[in-house]
Amino acid sequence: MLKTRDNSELINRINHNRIYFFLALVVIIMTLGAPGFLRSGNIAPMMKTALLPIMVGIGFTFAMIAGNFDLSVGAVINVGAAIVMGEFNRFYALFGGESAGDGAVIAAWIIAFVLALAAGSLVGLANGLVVAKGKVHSFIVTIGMLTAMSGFVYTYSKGNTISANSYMLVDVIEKPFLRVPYLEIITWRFLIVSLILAFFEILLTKTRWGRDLFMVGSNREAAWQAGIDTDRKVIESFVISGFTAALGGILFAVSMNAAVPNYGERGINPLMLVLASTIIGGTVMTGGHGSVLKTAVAVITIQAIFNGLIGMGLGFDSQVLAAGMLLGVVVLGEAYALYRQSLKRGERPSLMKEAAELKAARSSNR
Amino acid sequence: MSDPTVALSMKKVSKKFPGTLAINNVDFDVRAGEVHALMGENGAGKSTLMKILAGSYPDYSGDIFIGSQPVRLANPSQAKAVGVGMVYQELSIAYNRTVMENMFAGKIPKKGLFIDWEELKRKTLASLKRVGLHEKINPEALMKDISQHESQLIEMAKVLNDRPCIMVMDEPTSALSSEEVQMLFKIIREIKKQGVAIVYISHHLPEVFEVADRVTVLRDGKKIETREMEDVTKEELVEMMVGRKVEDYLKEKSHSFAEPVLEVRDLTRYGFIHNISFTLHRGEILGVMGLAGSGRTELGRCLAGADPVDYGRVVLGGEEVTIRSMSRMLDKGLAYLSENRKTEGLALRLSNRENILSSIIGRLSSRGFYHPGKGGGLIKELYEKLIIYPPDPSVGTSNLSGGNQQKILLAKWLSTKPKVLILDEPTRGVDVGAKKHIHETIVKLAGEGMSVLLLSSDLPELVSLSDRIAVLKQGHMIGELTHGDGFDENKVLLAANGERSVFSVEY
Amino acid sequence: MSSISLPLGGDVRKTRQNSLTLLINRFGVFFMILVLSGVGLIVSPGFFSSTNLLNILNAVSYLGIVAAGIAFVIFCGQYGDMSAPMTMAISGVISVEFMRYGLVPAFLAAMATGLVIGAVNGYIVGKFRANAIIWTLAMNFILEGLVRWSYKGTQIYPDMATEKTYQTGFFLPLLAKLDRHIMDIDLVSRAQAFNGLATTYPLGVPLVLYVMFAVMIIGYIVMSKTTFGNQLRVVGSSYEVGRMSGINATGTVMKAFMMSSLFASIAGIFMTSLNRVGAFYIGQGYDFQAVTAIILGGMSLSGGRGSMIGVFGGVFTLGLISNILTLVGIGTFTQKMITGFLFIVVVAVNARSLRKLGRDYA
Repeated sequence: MLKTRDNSELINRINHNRIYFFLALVVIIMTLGAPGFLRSGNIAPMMKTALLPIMVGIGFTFAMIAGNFDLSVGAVINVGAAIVMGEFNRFYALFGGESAGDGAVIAAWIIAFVLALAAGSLVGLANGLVVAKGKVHSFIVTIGMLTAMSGFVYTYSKGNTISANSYMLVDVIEKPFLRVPYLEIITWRFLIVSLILAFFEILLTKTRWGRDLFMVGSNREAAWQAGIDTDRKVIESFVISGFTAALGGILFAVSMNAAVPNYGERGINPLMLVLASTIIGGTVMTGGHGSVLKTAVAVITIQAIFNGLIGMGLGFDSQVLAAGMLLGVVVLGEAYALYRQSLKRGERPSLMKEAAELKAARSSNR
Repeated sequence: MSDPTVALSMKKVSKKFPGTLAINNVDFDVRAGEVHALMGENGAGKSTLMKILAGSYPDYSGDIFIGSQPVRLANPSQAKAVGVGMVYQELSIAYNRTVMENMFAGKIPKKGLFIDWEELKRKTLASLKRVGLHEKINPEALMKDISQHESQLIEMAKVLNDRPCIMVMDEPTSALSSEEVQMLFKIIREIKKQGVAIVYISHHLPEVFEVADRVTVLRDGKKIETREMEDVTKEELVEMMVGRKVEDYLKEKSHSFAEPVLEVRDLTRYGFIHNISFTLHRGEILGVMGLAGSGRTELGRCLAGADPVDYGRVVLGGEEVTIRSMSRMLDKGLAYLSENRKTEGLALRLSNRENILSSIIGRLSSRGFYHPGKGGGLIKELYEKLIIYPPDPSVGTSNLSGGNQQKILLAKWLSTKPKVLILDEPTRGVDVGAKKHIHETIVKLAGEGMSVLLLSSDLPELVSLSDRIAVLKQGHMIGELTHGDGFDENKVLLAANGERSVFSVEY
Repeated sequence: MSSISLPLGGDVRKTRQNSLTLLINRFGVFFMILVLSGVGLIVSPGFFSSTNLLNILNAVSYLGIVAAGIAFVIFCGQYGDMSAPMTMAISGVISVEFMRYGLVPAFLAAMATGLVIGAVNGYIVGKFRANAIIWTLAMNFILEGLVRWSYKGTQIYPDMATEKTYQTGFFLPLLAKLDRHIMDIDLVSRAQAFNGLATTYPLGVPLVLYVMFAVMIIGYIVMSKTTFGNQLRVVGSSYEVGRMSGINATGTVMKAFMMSSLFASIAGIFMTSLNRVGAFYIGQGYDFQAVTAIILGGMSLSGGRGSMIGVFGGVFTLGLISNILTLVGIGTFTQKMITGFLFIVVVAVNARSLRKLGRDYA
């Protein structure tokens, strides 16, 4: 009896940390299968691609922990990107453009960042209010918001790619501090993403705010009984989601010096990637359990698979297939586990010994 | 107050529901450091009385004193503040969170900005110690990996965190094995020693005798008596609960049943019901008595094909059937009315017509097309037979009263014209008028030749309707009582508690 | 609460109020159409000209076909079928590849593929109760990967030379192994016929529009008149109640997903014909748009409520909005934004009114 329990505890522990095992497995396979996978020249661009989904995944995970889907992040990324570029250009021109010197550039960037982040947070606030106070399913609200915001981005940018009229920030944000193999992944963008990730991981795991959020997602009724303001928690999680999605888009646009209005509408779009990573990273779809760090590791894992597949000489197509299979297996696996569990609900432990005897008697009779 | 040891006293408490006086002038007091059993049949008013104490019904009349302080309990948090702790049967657990987070939700200790994990763990262990789990349970374990029995103890520990002076436990043993019950009792005795007053609601006589110091019996919303446990016998207690009011048998008793309709041999679903055998005759009402967790509902679900069956032989209407699916059993003439009206019985957002016909959509179809018109006559007939209000089948089911919803549910299964109808708690949450009507309908249908398997925890219902009563305990059928034995509610309740001496027939 | 029997007067009043709300709830979208038509007339006197009406309908006919299918999934209480876009794409490429057996067999092959996809989705959602959105999203990924991988990321054209199709195609090389002769079939006329599907105007009305109406009418009949449709209503209202009523719930859910995939297949064939190319991106965006139209049409996301008439209303509303906004000179992008906000408002108001009556929310 005790032994089986230890076993299941071990399995549980492995399942909770499955993403780390999975990453290790992927790295081993890719190292063996794809020549040069571990080379710095391969790892650095791979990590660079992962930064956007990692950032967006933070907020997405928060929303899912509270028990909601925030599908609008797919468009909020572009909202952040377009606004930061557009507003920078507007204020840069207002401050006098090239003739005004570095001060104008810095001031314009600060204003643009604040506006873009505010826009993202506002979208999150709107989502949260309708979901929490209007009691509408988050999936519906955020699909509507996804449509509205992608329309907004096109309208704002008139369908064009917006580039900043100054290269100053672009040059800074994407430049490695050290031209040393592997350490060349460390750029300002990498540092910002890492810091934000650490901040939110700490917020989630080490503060009462975070633990209460888990409680809300796990059992809203119980949380409410314990005196937690559940509506407020849901709204806050959506605001975080809007904020990180916008920030992800901002950093991405700045690093490319281009805000593309339809970024992510074709192929593997960031929304799908983030959704897959969050679930593969172990965040429970119905809420109450999850980790932004594990979502980030899942993003890296998927990027490693993508990258390795290319290294193995397979095309982009196989990446999409792999991502789908991965998501499919995880979703099916969890659904199947729940299904098995539901069959056993209400089983009387006191009858199990006798049941085993009955089973044995029947099989020996046959 | 005169007696300093009294932790709680309720004086002349009454609570009115529209149409009924659920609690009628009840005086009830509990001393500090005692276990006070609260007994009574379903609907006697036990849970209403306790809900008043929990602050869920602010519109009661009468006075409540906690210690010697008069209090007015207007909401749950107020009740909590004055020291009332409720250990609910349905647990409010966040399954994918840890034990310690569940126990201290909303009040996790902090050190500066961050959580003080050491303190949280220490507090959790201290709290678990009170229920004897500090060496067994890792505070960091997830609740979903904790057994039901331990979850219940954790729930108790959570309640004890608030340092209540009165703790109410509602049927705490219904899902526990006998060893687990013993452990629970040990803990209850520990808590008692700390001066907490415990109100213990239960149907299980042996348990009450084992753990309680005093007992109060309620019947029909009135207090019958409070007695010291030492001065009372099982038989007396049952008599107090049931009264001498055994209703007239609704059913003619003289029948002798000759034609078997349903024969069940060794029906087994591992871990739920083991080797159940019985025979049901044409026109017979076979009551099945069993306390919570005895496998009563599981028996019904297995027979209906809703849950998988591991083995067993079932002969229905002379034909051997393998239980494979509900639709197959329905076709063979066996219908099952679920005890969960709202989740398994009726689709509340559909209309009454759609609900009544939902189980015979296939039968009212030809070549893939559904002709609800064909069911019109049937609906009219059922509406007349069951007197359903409002008499308009196009009304949404959610707009009906509980009693009328239950009639719709019964109509749904009668529409399948079953040979065997399994009724699982057919009158739960139903007003008196509807209940009487449903009872009369069941008897009438049996008179017309339908066989009924009546699964119920409502003793008067079982006794007044059944021709025979089979008794389930711990997943086994432990015996049956027939009218020949002159069965009454006392005997049935004793039988369900495992008093084998009352059986005439034993399997 | 519900166990307390209400006084007579209370019950009756509540019933009346409910049927009125139900009416608004069910046909509110037509009220919206009325208002929009009024606005349309103000904006442009020629709004009700047959040309303009036909334009409106033609613009949403593909969406209409897809929405009619996904409506079954939503009616079933599942939140949607996100694999519809790739089902459309796959049907397109399959019909192009199988064209050499004749157009009808090609279409049948495409629709059969659709049915298989639906059956798999339905089994997994119906039996194991997997989250439909996430599962179908994964399915969409898998299918996209399969199509891209099979066709090496390229597209195939109906009027492409046989040798070229042999190089890019996935099935043709396999089929050619079975029977060399299929390589020699002259496809020019068939390709023309295929590409012409979307541009055929029998009696001055586009063929797709006929198809959309046919699909909607069939959908209406299946949903409200057949055994399956009525069992689906019960299962959609409550899966457990459906199961406990002796209905094969898994099978019913499966059929709902198969309806969705079948209709998506049909739309995919026409989309492929319209674009004159079979590729993975055919059908992108139709999933969300269809859900928007269905919800606007008054179908409840929690299942069991709504009708195909409402779905048509929702689709038509989207067409009207787009048409009016175009007439007043608002670009497609802003239109999208307005539609999105409108959607949120409609759903929120609807949920609020239902909740006020103590009903479930959308």
